Amino acid sequence: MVDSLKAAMAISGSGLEAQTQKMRIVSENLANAFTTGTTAGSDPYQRKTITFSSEMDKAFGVNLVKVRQIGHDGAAFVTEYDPTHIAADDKGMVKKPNVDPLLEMADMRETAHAYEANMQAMKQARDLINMAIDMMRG
Amino acid sequence: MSEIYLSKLADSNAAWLSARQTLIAGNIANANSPGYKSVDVKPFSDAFRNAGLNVATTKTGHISAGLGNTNGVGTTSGTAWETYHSGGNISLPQEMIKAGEVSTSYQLNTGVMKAFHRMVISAFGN
Repeated sequence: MVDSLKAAMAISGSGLEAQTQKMRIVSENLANAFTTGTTAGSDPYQRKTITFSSEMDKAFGVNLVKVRQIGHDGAAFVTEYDPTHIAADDKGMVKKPNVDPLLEMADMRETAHAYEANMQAMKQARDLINMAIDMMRG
Repeated sequence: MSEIYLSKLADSNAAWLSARQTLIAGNIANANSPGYKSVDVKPFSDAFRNAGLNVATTKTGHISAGLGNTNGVGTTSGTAWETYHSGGNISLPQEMIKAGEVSTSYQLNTGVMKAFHRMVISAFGN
């Protein structure tokens, strides 16, 4: 009984870890929202994406969540006319990262929500264990 | 009047609630996993009726049920509030409501056991 609650806490722990990874990707994208290339016509920072998948944990016999893949967003780069820029090509166009700050902010919100939900589930599992222990107090 | 095995009933109910909490935690953790579908336990009445039918491990080579196992409880795909483009259908508010139900029931369970325990103690007198 307490063991399955411990498993619940392990699951929530894996959820927190996964959301932390997602938050890292979001901040990486935001921080690099204006990172261009350094040579003429070179590619700028490419937006990173993250996907999760559930994975069977043999010790607990439950589905934990794992980061499946950290990939790159294949969306086209935004080009801007800036002939004096170091990364400008022969036509004076500079490739800017395909990062949309608005999208990243939305992702950040979603991540924060998911993190909070996992935290809440973990807290509750702990509360349930405490309730069981409290029975001994009479 | 039929007999009531209160401790057994409370114990199975606590095990059922723990299994449900584990599944809820799994649902929440996998809320962003593409294609992950919400799962829930079968109603307690079903689980209680089928109690005691678990497979025993009689040899060391047998695979024992995991710690967080929900065997004997049985899972069912929950009723989803929404479905996402990525194939998942976990709704965090729905999971929170389920978690609230578990918390209330567990509190009731431990409360009843506490009261029962006090009754037993008082029957012995001081």
